[in-house]
Amino acid sequence: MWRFWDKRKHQDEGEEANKLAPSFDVIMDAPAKECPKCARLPKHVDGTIGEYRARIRERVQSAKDTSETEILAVGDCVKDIVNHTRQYIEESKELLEKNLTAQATSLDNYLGYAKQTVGAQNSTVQQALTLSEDISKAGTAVDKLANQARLLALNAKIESARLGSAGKAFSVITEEMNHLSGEIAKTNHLIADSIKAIKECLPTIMNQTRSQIEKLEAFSSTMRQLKDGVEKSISTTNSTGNTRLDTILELAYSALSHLQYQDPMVQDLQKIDVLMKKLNDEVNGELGIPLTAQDTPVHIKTLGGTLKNSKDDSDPLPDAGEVLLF
Amino acid sequence: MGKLILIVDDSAAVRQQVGMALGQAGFETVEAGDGREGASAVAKNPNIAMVISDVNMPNMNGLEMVSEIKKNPSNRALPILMLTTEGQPALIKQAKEAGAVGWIVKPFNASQLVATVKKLTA
Repeated sequence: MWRFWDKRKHQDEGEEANKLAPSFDVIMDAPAKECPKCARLPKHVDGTIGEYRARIRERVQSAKDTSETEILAVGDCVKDIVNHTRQYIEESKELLEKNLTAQATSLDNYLGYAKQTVGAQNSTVQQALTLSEDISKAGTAVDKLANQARLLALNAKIESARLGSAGKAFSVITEEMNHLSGEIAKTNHLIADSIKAIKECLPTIMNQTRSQIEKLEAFSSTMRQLKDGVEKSISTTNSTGNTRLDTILELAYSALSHLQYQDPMVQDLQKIDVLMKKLNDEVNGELGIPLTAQDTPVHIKTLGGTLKNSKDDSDPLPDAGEVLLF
Repeated sequence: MGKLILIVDDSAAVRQQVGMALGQAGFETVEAGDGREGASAVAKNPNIAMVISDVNMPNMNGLEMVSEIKKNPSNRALPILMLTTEGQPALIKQAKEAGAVGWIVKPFNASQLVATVKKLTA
Protein backbone atom coordinates (compact mmCIF):
# COMPACT_ATOMS: atom_id res chain seq x y z
CA MET A 1 0.00 0.00 0.00
CA TRP A 2 1.39 3.44 -1.05
CA ARG A 3 1.14 6.30 1.26
CA PHE A 4 0.66 9.86 0.16
CA TRP A 5 2.84 12.67 1.49
CA ASP A 6 1.27 16.09 1.39
CA LYS A 7 3.92 18.80 1.77
CA ARG A 8 1.41 21.36 2.97
CA LYS A 9 0.48 19.23 5.97
CA HIS A 10 4.14 19.19 6.97
CA GLN A 11 4.80 22.91 6.42
CA ASP A 12 4.97 23.69 10.14
CA GLU A 13 7.65 21.06 10.59
CA GLY A 14 10.23 23.10 8.68
CA GLU A 15 12.54 22.37 5.78
CA GLU A 16 14.01 19.20 7.27
CA ALA A 17 10.66 17.44 7.38
CA ASN A 18 9.82 18.51 3.83
CA LYS A 19 13.08 17.21 2.51
CA LEU A 20 11.75 13.78 3.42
CA ALA A 21 8.69 14.36 1.27
CA PRO A 22 9.19 13.71 -2.42
CA SER A 23 7.25 15.85 -4.89
CA PHE A 24 3.78 14.80 -5.97
CA ASP A 25 5.02 13.70 -9.36
CA VAL A 26 7.52 11.22 -7.96
CA ILE A 27 5.68 10.18 -4.85
CA MET A 28 4.34 7.07 -6.54
CA ASP A 29 7.83 5.81 -7.19
CA ALA A 30 9.06 6.71 -3.73
CA PRO A 31 9.33 4.12 -0.93
CA ALA A 32 6.32 3.98 1.39
CA LYS A 33 6.57 6.29 4.33
CA GLU A 34 4.44 6.11 7.43
CA CYS A 35 2.84 9.44 8.14
CA PRO A 36 -0.13 9.83 10.46
CA LYS A 37 -0.91 13.33 9.14
CA CYS A 38 -1.24 12.16 5.53
CA ALA A 39 -4.40 10.61 4.24
CA ARG A 40 -4.39 7.11 2.88
CA LEU A 41 -5.34 6.84 -0.80
CA PRO A 42 -8.69 5.18 -1.41
CA LYS A 43 -8.47 1.75 -2.99
CA HIS A 44 -9.93 2.68 -6.39
CA VAL A 45 -7.26 5.32 -6.98
CA ASP A 46 -4.60 3.23 -5.38
CA GLY A 47 -1.75 2.24 -7.65
CA THR A 48 0.64 3.93 -9.94
CA ILE A 49 -1.49 6.99 -10.78
CA GLY A 50 1.57 9.01 -11.65
CA GLU A 51 2.71 6.37 -14.07
CA TYR A 52 -0.68 6.28 -15.82
CA ARG A 53 -0.83 10.03 -16.02
CA ALA A 54 2.60 10.15 -17.52
CA ARG A 55 1.64 7.50 -20.05
CA ILE A 56 -1.57 9.32 -20.94
CA ARG A 57 0.34 12.59 -21.37
CA GLU A 58 2.84 10.78 -23.54
CA ARG A 59 0.08 9.31 -25.70
CA VAL A 60 -1.69 12.65 -25.99
CA GLN A 61 1.54 14.33 -27.06
CA SER A 62 2.26 11.54 -29.51
CA ALA A 63 -1.24 11.77 -31.00
CA LYS A 64 -0.90 15.52 -31.23
CA ASP A 65 2.47 15.24 -32.97
CA THR A 66 1.17 12.60 -35.40
CA SER A 67 -1.89 14.67 -36.20
CA GLU A 68 0.23 17.77 -36.71
CA THR A 69 2.61 15.91 -39.03
CA GLU A 70 -0.24 14.47 -41.07
CA ILE A 71 -2.05 17.79 -41.35
CA LEU A 72 1.20 19.45 -42.43
CA ALA A 73 1.63 16.77 -45.09
CA VAL A 74 -1.96 17.28 -46.31
CA GLY A 75 -1.30 21.03 -46.35
CA ASP A 76 1.80 20.48 -48.47
CA CYS A 77 -0.23 18.29 -50.85
CA VAL A 78 -2.92 20.98 -51.16
CA LYS A 79 -0.21 23.55 -51.84
CA ASP A 80 1.31 21.29 -54.52
CA ILE A 81 -2.07 20.60 -56.14
CA VAL A 82 -2.85 24.30 -56.29
CA ASN A 83 0.60 25.20 -57.62
CA HIS A 84 0.43 22.49 -60.28
CA THR A 85 -3.08 23.55 -61.32
CA ARG A 86 -2.01 27.19 -61.48
CA GLN A 87 1.01 26.19 -63.53
CA TYR A 88 -1.24 24.14 -65.83
CA ILE A 89 -3.60 27.09 -66.32
CA GLU A 90 -0.66 29.40 -67.04
CA GLU A 91 0.98 26.96 -69.45
CA SER A 92 -2.32 26.31 -71.27
CA LYS A 93 -2.83 30.04 -71.60
CA GLU A 94 0.68 30.55 -72.95
CA LEU A 95 0.29 27.65 -75.39
CA LEU A 96 -3.08 28.92 -76.65
CA GLU A 97 -1.75 32.44 -77.04
CA LYS A 98 1.35 31.17 -78.82
CA ASN A 99 -0.72 29.05 -81.23
CA LEU A 100 -3.19 31.85 -81.80
CA THR A 101 -0.40 34.34 -82.52
CA ALA A 102 1.25 31.88 -84.93
CA GLN A 103 -2.05 31.26 -86.76
CA ALA A 104 -2.85 34.98 -86.86
CA THR A 105 0.62 35.79 -88.20
CA SER A 106 0.31 33.09 -90.84
CA LEU A 107 -3.12 34.37 -91.84
CA ASP A 108 -1.88 37.97 -91.94
CA ASN A 109 0.98 36.89 -94.20
CA TYR A 110 -1.40 35.04 -96.51
CA LEU A 111 -3.82 37.96 -96.63
CA GLY A 112 -0.93 40.35 -97.32
CA TYR A 113 0.27 38.13 -100.17
CA ALA A 114 -3.26 37.78 -101.56
CA LYS A 115 -3.81 41.54 -101.43
CA GLN A 116 -0.48 42.12 -103.12
CA THR A 117 -1.35 39.65 -105.90
CA VAL A 118 -4.81 41.14 -106.40
CA GLY A 119 -3.23 44.61 -106.41
CA ALA A 120 -0.75 43.51 -109.10
CA GLN A 121 -3.60 42.02 -111.14
CA ASN A 122 -5.49 45.28 -110.86
CA SER A 123 -2.47 47.21 -112.01
CA THR A 124 -2.00 44.87 -115.00
CA VAL A 125 -5.65 45.28 -115.96
CA GLN A 126 -5.23 49.06 -115.70
CA GLN A 127 -2.21 48.85 -118.00
CA ALA A 128 -4.17 46.70 -120.45
CA LEU A 129 -6.90 49.34 -120.48
CA THR A 130 -4.36 52.07 -121.21
CA LEU A 131 -2.80 49.95 -123.99
CA SER A 132 -6.17 49.26 -125.56
CA GLU A 133 -6.83 53.02 -125.54
CA ASP A 134 -3.48 53.51 -127.32
CA ILE A 135 -4.37 50.78 -129.84
CA SER A 136 -7.74 52.47 -130.46
CA LYS A 137 -5.93 55.73 -131.18
CA ALA A 138 -3.51 53.89 -133.49
CA GLY A 139 -6.52 52.25 -135.24
CA THR A 140 -8.02 55.68 -135.93
CA ALA A 141 -4.66 56.79 -137.45
CA VAL A 142 -4.51 53.61 -139.55
CA ASP A 143 -8.06 54.22 -140.76
CA LYS A 144 -7.09 57.75 -141.77
CA LEU A 145 -4.06 56.39 -143.65
CA ALA A 146 -6.23 53.79 -145.48
CA ASN A 147 -8.64 56.54 -146.57
CA GLN A 148 -5.72 58.63 -147.82
CA ALA A 149 -4.33 55.59 -149.69
CA ARG A 150 -7.75 54.96 -151.27
CA LEU A 151 -7.97 58.64 -152.29
CA LEU A 152 -4.44 58.39 -153.68
CA ALA A 153 -5.38 55.22 -155.67
CA LEU A 154 -8.48 56.98 -157.05
CA ASN A 155 -6.39 59.96 -158.23
CA ALA A 156 -3.80 57.58 -159.74
CA LYS A 157 -6.61 55.76 -161.56
CA ILE A 158 -7.87 59.06 -163.06
CA GLU A 159 -4.34 59.96 -164.12
CA SER A 160 -3.73 56.53 -165.67
CA ALA A 161 -7.02 56.80 -167.65
CA ARG A 162 -5.93 60.15 -168.96
CA LEU A 163 -2.67 58.61 -170.21
CA GLY A 164 -4.58 55.98 -172.20
CA SER A 165 -2.71 52.79 -173.19
CA ALA A 166 0.54 54.17 -171.72
CA GLY A 167 -1.08 54.27 -168.29
CA LYS A 168 -2.65 50.82 -168.50
CA ALA A 169 0.00 49.08 -166.37
CA PHE A 170 -0.15 51.87 -163.83
CA SER A 171 -3.95 51.32 -163.68
CA VAL A 172 -3.36 47.74 -162.43
CA ILE A 173 -1.20 49.10 -159.55
CA THR A 174 -3.85 51.65 -158.62
CA GLU A 175 -6.46 48.87 -158.54
CA GLU A 176 -4.26 46.88 -156.18
CA MET A 177 -3.64 49.96 -154.02
CA ASN A 178 -7.36 50.54 -153.79
CA HIS A 179 -7.92 46.89 -152.87
CA LEU A 180 -5.12 47.05 -150.24
CA SER A 181 -6.51 50.18 -148.63
CA GLY A 182 -9.91 48.49 -148.49
CA GLU A 183 -8.37 45.44 -146.78
CA ILE A 184 -6.48 47.70 -144.31
CA ALA A 185 -9.73 49.49 -143.46
CA LYS A 186 -11.55 46.16 -143.00
CA THR A 187 -8.77 44.75 -140.75
CA ASN A 188 -8.67 47.99 -138.80
CA HIS A 189 -12.40 47.70 -138.16
CA LEU A 190 -11.90 44.16 -136.94
CA ILE A 191 -9.13 45.37 -134.53
CA ALA A 192 -11.36 48.24 -133.38
CA ASP A 193 -14.20 45.81 -132.67
CA SER A 194 -11.83 43.53 -130.67
CA ILE A 195 -10.40 46.47 -128.73
CA LYS A 196 -13.93 47.62 -128.01
CA ALA A 197 -14.79 44.15 -126.67
CA ILE A 198 -11.60 44.09 -124.53
CA LYS A 199 -12.33 47.60 -123.18
CA GLU A 200 -15.81 46.45 -122.24
CA CYS A 201 -14.39 43.38 -120.41
CA LEU A 202 -11.63 45.19 -118.52
CA PRO A 203 -13.92 47.22 -116.17
CA THR A 204 -15.70 43.98 -115.25
CA ILE A 205 -12.33 42.36 -114.43
CA MET A 206 -11.37 45.48 -112.44
CA ASN A 207 -14.64 45.40 -110.54
CA GLN A 208 -14.16 41.73 -109.78
CA THR A 209 -10.60 42.41 -108.58
CA ARG A 210 -11.81 45.30 -106.41
CA SER A 211 -14.52 43.05 -105.00
CA GLN A 212 -11.89 40.39 -104.23
CA ILE A 213 -9.79 42.97 -102.34
CA GLU A 214 -12.84 44.11 -100.37
CA LYS A 215 -13.70 40.52 -99.51
CA LEU A 216 -10.14 39.84 -98.40
CA GLU A 217 -10.18 42.97 -96.23
CA ALA A 218 -13.50 41.91 -94.70
CA PHE A 219 -12.09 38.43 -94.06
CA SER A 220 -8.97 39.94 -92.50
CA SER A 221 -11.13 42.11 -90.24
CA THR A 222 -13.26 39.09 -89.24
CA MET A 223 -10.11 37.12 -88.45
CA ARG A 224 -8.79 40.01 -86.32
CA GLN A 225 -12.10 40.11 -84.42
CA LEU A 226 -11.94 36.34 -84.01
CA LYS A 227 -8.38 36.60 -82.65
CA ASP A 228 -9.44 39.35 -80.21
CA GLY A 229 -12.41 37.21 -79.15
CA VAL A 230 -10.26 34.14 -78.58
CA GLU A 231 -7.72 36.22 -76.64
CA LYS A 232 -10.51 37.60 -74.48
CA SER A 233 -11.84 34.08 -73.93
CA ILE A 234 -8.40 32.85 -72.91
CA SER A 235 -8.06 35.72 -70.47
CA THR A 236 -11.56 35.11 -69.03
CA THR A 237 -10.93 31.36 -68.78
CA ASN A 238 -7.64 32.04 -67.05
CA SER A 239 -9.22 34.45 -64.62
CA THR A 240 -12.16 32.08 -63.94
CA GLY A 241 -9.72 29.21 -63.44
CA ASN A 242 -7.78 31.22 -60.88
CA THR A 243 -10.96 32.27 -59.09
CA ARG A 244 -12.11 28.65 -58.94
CA LEU A 245 -8.69 27.68 -57.67
CA ASP A 246 -8.93 30.31 -54.93
CA THR A 247 -12.27 28.80 -53.93
CA ILE A 248 -10.80 25.28 -53.96
CA LEU A 249 -7.92 26.50 -51.84
CA GLU A 250 -10.25 28.19 -49.40
CA LEU A 251 -12.31 25.01 -49.09
CA ALA A 252 -9.11 23.03 -48.56
CA TYR A 253 -8.07 25.43 -45.76
CA SER A 254 -11.46 25.02 -44.14
CA ALA A 255 -11.19 21.23 -44.44
CA LEU A 256 -7.72 21.27 -42.89
CA SER A 257 -8.82 23.65 -40.19
CA HIS A 258 -11.75 21.42 -39.28
CA LEU A 259 -9.51 18.38 -39.40
CA GLN A 260 -7.35 20.01 -36.79
CA TYR A 261 -10.08 20.82 -34.37
CA GLN A 262 -12.80 18.29 -34.92
CA ASP A 263 -11.15 15.06 -35.86
CA PRO A 264 -11.77 11.89 -33.80
CA MET A 265 -8.40 12.24 -32.12
CA VAL A 266 -9.51 15.50 -30.56
CA GLN A 267 -12.73 13.87 -29.43
CA ASP A 268 -10.66 11.16 -27.78
CA LEU A 269 -8.52 13.81 -26.13
CA GLN A 270 -11.68 15.41 -24.82
CA LYS A 271 -12.73 12.09 -23.28
CA ILE A 272 -9.29 11.73 -21.71
CA ASP A 273 -9.63 15.28 -20.48
CA VAL A 274 -12.95 14.46 -18.81
CA LEU A 275 -11.51 11.32 -17.19
CA MET A 276 -8.44 13.19 -15.99
CA LYS A 277 -10.66 15.88 -14.52
CA LYS A 278 -12.69 13.21 -12.68
CA LEU A 279 -9.50 11.67 -11.41
CA ASN A 280 -8.30 15.08 -10.36
CA ASP A 281 -11.56 15.76 -8.53
CA GLU A 282 -11.45 12.41 -6.80
CA VAL A 283 -7.87 12.78 -5.66
CA ASN A 284 -8.61 16.34 -4.68
CA GLY A 285 -11.78 15.35 -2.83
CA GLU A 286 -10.20 12.44 -1.03
CA LEU A 287 -6.96 14.05 -0.09
CA GLY A 288 -7.62 17.76 -0.29
CA ILE A 289 -4.68 18.08 -2.62
CA PRO A 290 -5.42 20.04 -5.75
CA LEU A 291 -3.24 19.00 -8.64
CA THR A 292 -1.07 21.82 -9.89
CA ALA A 293 -2.14 23.66 -13.04
CA GLN A 294 0.69 22.04 -14.89
CA ASP A 295 -0.58 18.58 -14.02
CA THR A 296 -4.23 19.15 -14.87
CA PRO A 297 -5.52 18.30 -18.31
CA VAL A 298 -6.83 21.85 -18.73
CA HIS A 299 -3.60 22.53 -20.55
CA ILE A 300 -3.78 19.62 -22.93
CA LYS A 301 -3.52 21.58 -26.13
CA THR A 302 -4.96 20.52 -29.42
CA LEU A 303 -2.63 22.19 -31.85
CA GLY A 304 -2.78 25.57 -30.30
CA GLY A 305 -5.72 25.73 -27.94
CA THR A 306 -7.33 24.45 -24.80
CA LEU A 307 -10.07 21.87 -25.16
CA LYS A 308 -13.51 23.38 -25.07
CA ASN A 309 -15.02 21.14 -22.43
CA SER A 310 -12.23 21.86 -20.01
CA LYS A 311 -13.39 25.46 -19.73
CA ASP A 312 -15.63 26.84 -17.10
CA ASP A 313 -19.26 26.77 -18.30
CA SER A 314 -19.70 30.35 -17.17
CA ASP A 315 -17.33 31.50 -19.92
CA PRO A 316 -19.24 31.08 -23.17
CA LEU A 317 -17.02 30.58 -26.19
CA PRO A 318 -17.38 32.89 -29.17
CA ASP A 319 -18.31 31.05 -32.36
CA ALA A 320 -15.48 29.46 -34.32
CA GLY A 321 -14.18 31.80 -37.01
CA GLU A 322 -15.84 34.78 -35.35
CA VAL A 323 -13.81 37.97 -35.72
CA LEU A 324 -13.88 40.44 -32.84
CA LEU A 325 -12.20 43.73 -33.64
CA PHE A 326 -11.59 45.98 -30.65
CA MET B 1 5.83 42.86 -53.06
CA GLY B 2 3.10 42.27 -50.48
CA LYS B 3 3.03 43.47 -46.89
CA LEU B 4 4.93 41.36 -44.38
CA ILE B 5 2.86 39.51 -41.78
CA LEU B 6 4.34 37.69 -38.78
CA ILE B 7 2.53 34.46 -37.82
CA VAL B 8 3.17 33.32 -34.26
CA ASP B 9 1.88 29.87 -33.32
CA ASP B 10 3.44 26.80 -31.73
CA SER B 11 1.58 24.62 -34.27
CA ALA B 12 3.44 24.33 -37.56
CA ALA B 13 0.18 23.21 -39.23
CA VAL B 14 -1.59 26.43 -38.19
CA ARG B 15 1.39 28.52 -39.32
CA GLN B 16 1.29 26.67 -42.65
CA GLN B 17 -2.45 27.23 -43.16
CA VAL B 18 -2.38 30.91 -42.19
CA GLY B 19 0.73 31.36 -44.36
CA MET B 20 -0.95 29.70 -47.35
CA ALA B 21 -4.12 31.76 -46.98
CA LEU B 22 -2.18 35.03 -46.71
CA GLY B 23 0.32 34.06 -49.42
CA GLN B 24 -2.61 33.38 -51.73
CA ALA B 25 -3.86 36.91 -51.10
CA GLY B 26 -0.46 38.40 -51.98
CA PHE B 27 1.00 38.88 -48.49
CA GLU B 28 4.54 37.93 -47.50
CA THR B 29 4.84 35.96 -44.26
CA VAL B 30 7.42 35.14 -41.59
CA GLU B 31 6.85 32.65 -38.78
CA ALA B 32 7.68 32.28 -35.10
CA GLY B 33 7.05 29.24 -32.89
CA ASP B 34 6.29 31.02 -29.61
CA GLY B 35 5.82 34.44 -28.03
CA ARG B 36 9.50 34.94 -27.31
CA GLU B 37 10.46 34.26 -30.93
CA GLY B 38 7.59 36.50 -32.05
CA ALA B 39 8.69 39.47 -29.94
CA SER B 40 12.25 38.97 -31.11
CA ALA B 41 11.15 38.87 -34.78
CA VAL B 42 9.26 42.17 -34.37
CA ALA B 43 12.30 43.77 -32.70
CA LYS B 44 14.59 42.62 -35.51
CA ASN B 45 12.35 43.32 -38.50
CA PRO B 46 10.84 46.80 -38.82
CA ASN B 47 9.09 45.79 -42.08
CA ILE B 48 6.55 43.64 -40.26
CA ALA B 49 3.19 45.25 -40.99
CA MET B 50 1.05 43.07 -38.74
CA VAL B 51 1.24 40.17 -36.26
CA ILE B 52 -1.20 37.24 -36.03
CA SER B 53 -0.65 35.30 -32.82
CA ASP B 54 -1.93 32.32 -30.88
CA VAL B 55 -2.52 32.74 -27.13
CA ASN B 56 -1.42 29.44 -25.55
CA MET B 57 2.22 28.89 -26.43
CA PRO B 58 5.30 27.65 -24.61
CA ASN B 59 8.05 29.97 -23.29
CA MET B 60 6.01 33.16 -23.68
CA ASN B 61 2.27 33.17 -24.32
CA GLY B 62 0.55 35.41 -26.86
CA LEU B 63 -0.72 37.97 -24.36
CA GLU B 64 2.71 38.36 -22.76
CA MET B 65 4.13 38.78 -26.24
CA VAL B 66 1.65 41.58 -27.06
CA SER B 67 2.67 43.43 -23.86
CA GLU B 68 6.34 42.91 -24.68
CA ILE B 69 5.96 44.23 -28.24
CA LYS B 70 3.85 47.20 -27.15
CA LYS B 71 6.50 48.25 -24.61
CA ASN B 72 8.38 49.74 -27.54
CA PRO B 73 6.62 53.02 -28.49
CA SER B 74 7.48 52.53 -32.16
CA ASN B 75 5.25 49.42 -32.16
CA ARG B 76 2.19 51.22 -30.85
CA ALA B 77 0.56 51.30 -34.28
CA LEU B 78 1.53 47.72 -35.16
CA PRO B 79 -1.72 45.72 -35.37
CA ILE B 80 -1.66 42.42 -33.46
CA LEU B 81 -4.52 40.01 -34.06
CA MET B 82 -5.07 37.05 -31.73
CA LEU B 83 -5.98 33.76 -33.46
CA THR B 84 -6.82 31.16 -30.85
CA THR B 85 -9.24 28.49 -29.67
CA GLU B 86 -9.61 30.45 -26.46
CA GLY B 87 -12.70 32.55 -26.04
CA GLN B 88 -13.01 33.53 -22.39
CA PRO B 89 -14.13 37.15 -22.06
CA ALA B 90 -11.45 37.71 -19.39
CA LEU B 91 -8.70 36.72 -21.81
CA ILE B 92 -10.20 38.82 -24.61
CA LYS B 93 -10.32 41.79 -22.25
CA GLN B 94 -6.73 41.16 -21.25
CA ALA B 95 -5.65 41.09 -24.91
CA LYS B 96 -7.48 44.33 -25.62
CA GLU B 97 -5.81 46.02 -22.66
CA ALA B 98 -2.41 44.72 -23.75
CA GLY B 99 -2.85 46.37 -27.14
CA ALA B 100 -4.20 43.67 -29.45
CA VAL B 101 -6.54 44.92 -32.18
CA GLY B 102 -8.76 41.87 -32.51
CA TRP B 103 -9.55 38.27 -31.67
CA ILE B 104 -10.43 35.39 -33.99
CA VAL B 105 -11.60 32.04 -32.68
CA LYS B 106 -10.15 28.95 -34.39
CA PRO B 107 -10.94 27.17 -36.62
CA PHE B 108 -10.69 30.22 -38.82
CA ASN B 109 -12.32 31.02 -42.13
CA ALA B 110 -9.55 31.80 -44.64
CA SER B 111 -11.39 34.50 -46.58
CA GLN B 112 -12.57 36.17 -43.39
CA LEU B 113 -9.02 36.14 -42.00
CA VAL B 114 -7.64 37.61 -45.24
CA ALA B 115 -10.35 40.30 -45.27
CA THR B 116 -9.52 41.20 -41.66
CA VAL B 117 -5.77 41.36 -42.39
CA LYS B 118 -6.41 43.53 -45.46
CA LYS B 119 -8.58 45.85 -43.39
CA LEU B 120 -6.04 46.14 -40.58
CA THR B 121 -3.05 46.72 -42.89
CA ALA B 122 -4.79 49.16 -45.25
